[in-house]
Amino acid sequence: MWALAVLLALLLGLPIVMHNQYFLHVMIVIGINVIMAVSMWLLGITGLISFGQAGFMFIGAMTTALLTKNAGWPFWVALPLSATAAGLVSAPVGRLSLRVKGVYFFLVTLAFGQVVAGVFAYFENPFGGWYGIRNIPPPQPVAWFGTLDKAAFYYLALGLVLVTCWIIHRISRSWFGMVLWSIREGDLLASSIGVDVPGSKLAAFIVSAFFAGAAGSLYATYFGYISPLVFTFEYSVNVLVYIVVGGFASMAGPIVGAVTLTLVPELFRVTGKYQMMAFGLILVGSMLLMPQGIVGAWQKLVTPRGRA
Amino acid sequence: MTSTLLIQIVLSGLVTGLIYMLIALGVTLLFGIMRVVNFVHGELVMLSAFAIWYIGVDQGLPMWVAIPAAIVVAAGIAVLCQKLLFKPLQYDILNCFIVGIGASFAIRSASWAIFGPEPQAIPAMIPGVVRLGGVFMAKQRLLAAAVCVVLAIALYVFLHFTRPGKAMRAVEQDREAALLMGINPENVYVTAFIISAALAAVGGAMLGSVFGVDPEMGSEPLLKSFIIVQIGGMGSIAGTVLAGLFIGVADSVTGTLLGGELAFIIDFAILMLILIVRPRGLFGYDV
Amino acid sequence: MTIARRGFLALGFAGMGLRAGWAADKTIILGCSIPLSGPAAPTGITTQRTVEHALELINAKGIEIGPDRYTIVAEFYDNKYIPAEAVTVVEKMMADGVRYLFSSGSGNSVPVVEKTTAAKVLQMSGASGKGHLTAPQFPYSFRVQPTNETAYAVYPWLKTAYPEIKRVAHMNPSDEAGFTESEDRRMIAERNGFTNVGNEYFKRGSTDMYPVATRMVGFTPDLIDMGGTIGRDQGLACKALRELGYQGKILQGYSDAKSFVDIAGPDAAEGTLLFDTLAEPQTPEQKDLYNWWIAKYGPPFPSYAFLVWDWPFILASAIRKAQSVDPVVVAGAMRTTVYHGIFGEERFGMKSVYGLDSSLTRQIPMSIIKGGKPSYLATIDWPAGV
Repeated sequence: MWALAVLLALLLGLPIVMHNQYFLHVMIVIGINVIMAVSMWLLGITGLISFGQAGFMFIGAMTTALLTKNAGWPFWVALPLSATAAGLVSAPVGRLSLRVKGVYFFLVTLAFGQVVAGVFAYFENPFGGWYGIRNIPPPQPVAWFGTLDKAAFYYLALGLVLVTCWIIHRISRSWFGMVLWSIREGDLLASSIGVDVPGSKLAAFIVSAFFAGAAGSLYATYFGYISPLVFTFEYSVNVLVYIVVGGFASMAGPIVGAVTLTLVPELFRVTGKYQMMAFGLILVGSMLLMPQGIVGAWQKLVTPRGRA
Repeated sequence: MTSTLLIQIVLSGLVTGLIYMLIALGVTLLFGIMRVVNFVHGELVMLSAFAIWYIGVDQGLPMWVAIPAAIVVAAGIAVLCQKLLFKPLQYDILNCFIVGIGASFAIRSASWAIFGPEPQAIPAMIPGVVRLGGVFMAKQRLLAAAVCVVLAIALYVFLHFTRPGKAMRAVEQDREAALLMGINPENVYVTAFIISAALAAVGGAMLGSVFGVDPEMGSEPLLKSFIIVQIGGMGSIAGTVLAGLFIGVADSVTGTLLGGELAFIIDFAILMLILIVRPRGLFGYDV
Repeated sequence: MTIARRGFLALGFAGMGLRAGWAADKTIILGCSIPLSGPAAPTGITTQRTVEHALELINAKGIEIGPDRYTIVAEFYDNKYIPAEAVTVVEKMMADGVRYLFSSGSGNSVPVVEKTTAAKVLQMSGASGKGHLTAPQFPYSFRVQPTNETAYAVYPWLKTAYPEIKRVAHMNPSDEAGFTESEDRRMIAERNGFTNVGNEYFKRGSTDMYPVATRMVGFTPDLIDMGGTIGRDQGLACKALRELGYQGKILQGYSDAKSFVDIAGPDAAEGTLLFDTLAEPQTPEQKDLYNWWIAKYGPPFPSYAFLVWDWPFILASAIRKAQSVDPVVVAGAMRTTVYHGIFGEERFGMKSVYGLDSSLTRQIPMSIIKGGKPSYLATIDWPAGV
């Protein structure tokens, strides 16, 4: 566990050492992606993959945008409210979506994501339409967040990431987490021993949406600009890819995946059109060659073989 | 609203719906047989359209050479995908879905790099417009619709009245029993991929002649196909046809009367409704 | 993380080194955020090619400021026409110390103008965005390609060239640029005595234009103005309108005419009016550019190239005049520079509309499609008082 402590110290000290604004920007984007990946992973434990995550993120972002910009509320109030809003919307959506299984579930959640984008796109007032919403104010105190220096945002993102990961980690290790794993192994078996399968799935769905909403809120206040072009199906797919490539078996997977795959496009940014291709090929490659993900492959490497 | 306008709207919708239905048939065939959601299908449509453009327009060869050539190209790529991507993953639904997404991104980017971003067009095989009273319809669109109907019927006949077709249905219903009856599932799967690719190729030809050809052209038809297949019911031809027509008309009506952006979300709203009320679709098998 | 960063820096420096060439010269880095993929890619690629050539010509002599000789080096980034990418791209450029920026598309230019202003970076945009982009509070932001602004010149001309047009309907994509165009064009049309009979939006990149085209035809206009539409949408919309029986005139711009005619079909495209499109070069400067492109890239020549040609020269000329590489000083010089370019006298104006002279005014060429090809129609002078 000292490895974690060192990592934490490094992360905390980063902005003091690295002043490069672009670098901090990428770290903040990584933070948002990590929150999304980890929240989607929690739901994935039950064997459900939701492509509506971008939709919940959008709801969170929109709530923050409207509350801070139009109603003038402070970000620190808007953040929990945004996450809650996403969670609240997810409850009826979850109930309806969970009535169907497997591929059908993917498609319903996909549909939901598109409907959210569509609704926000259609109503220019107050949702900004395709234009989106600009000039979303940064958190107070503006003196810290309003300047060009990203250090304050970095710490905000870091804080949110740590809180999210801690909570989700605790959940996954708790009794409730065991329940979720058991559902993945077999629905019928789980319910035969008294597990409330639908209820647990719904709870996981709501928690997952809650954190997606939080990520959206962070996005809104950092970028200051949201629009339907941001929270797309492609983004939900990206998040899924983080989990797949990183590895499914533990929470380290989505984190590693999000970090690696946010960096890779940045590395390839200069080459423009080949970015998508690289991403696609990485996805195919990792599915075929490294199904356990990076974390799984690492564990295999590190675990001594041939021991009883 | 005049009756002419209404007829125009419905007619437009039916014709467009049939074109999307053709592509959806390829999806339903694969999903019905193998429970594989082939995300690369959209790119097959796109690549076929480009192949036809290249052979038929750029190189100037006639259509009756270009289209079969495109079918061969599409079938080849489809079988490659089956062997390299889907089979190694044991046709697991989620894994195939993901690998398909990756492959489709890669193919799309490659297409950008090779063909460039300028949209191309496949000239209409039958140029001109038909006019009946106040209602207009481009002849090429009517041709496309006719082709789709013919192919849908052909597919139905194939599946219900020919040996390979019946073998396919057998595998779909019960893989083990089919094995016992001497049917080789692997051959069936390959055949399914080939037929679905052929459908995609013709779909690409029709789409390219009506809407133009560009590297992104595959994604919207693919998404629409999923919706159509869901609504019609996985594995059901009749369902896919009806659902295709329904979506076409719904799009046309909402698009014309309520504006384009709303049409975009109406499709998905319909999908969600169907999934909630009748998850297996109009004619599908049970979930 | 550090490895990634180092790797990128290495790539960046290598790129710069290759292009800079002269070890002794000083360089000014020009960051270009343009769409190199996605539907707007044709314009992005054309921009990249013309900018590279323009800089070759500029750097042949270099820009002399005191004892130093400067060359301008361009770095191109693909913003994929997505706002979030645009922001990231600009962050990156500014972190790399870029002080001069060109961005294409209002979705990519508007979200970053506050940042660039705060950082005192000179931003040149080929974008609409109206007062969100060029305004007194953004003194370093210049619009170097008139977009919806061209309507201020086109509509008065339409009145004299086609007096039979009375009813105008508008059709544009349902996004920021589209809304801007529609608003402006309707206002300008009315101001010039036309009647606006309809206004529709469609989702950019739609394949089936029949629904929106059916509505447009229903308005029975004399002219359908599709000013904000670009790319494949143009051809498909035109085709749909003609197939549905529309007989009136169609007005479009920002067009790659060959692609447009291909997609719409020569019959449907016949008679379409293209604003800010120069089909055949008329003046010596235009002919030079045309010949250079054909020699290097072969036909067809994208008329969009004419529109993006001048601004690097305007920038160079402003830097020369300012005798400084400080963007603030250069911005001041740019505002008062008159440049004789490919479309006559070009200068930054439109203070009456935007409160500050930041938007380029110049001659506007008009073309019309005849026999499947674009042909030269007229050159409109920029109206006085705008």
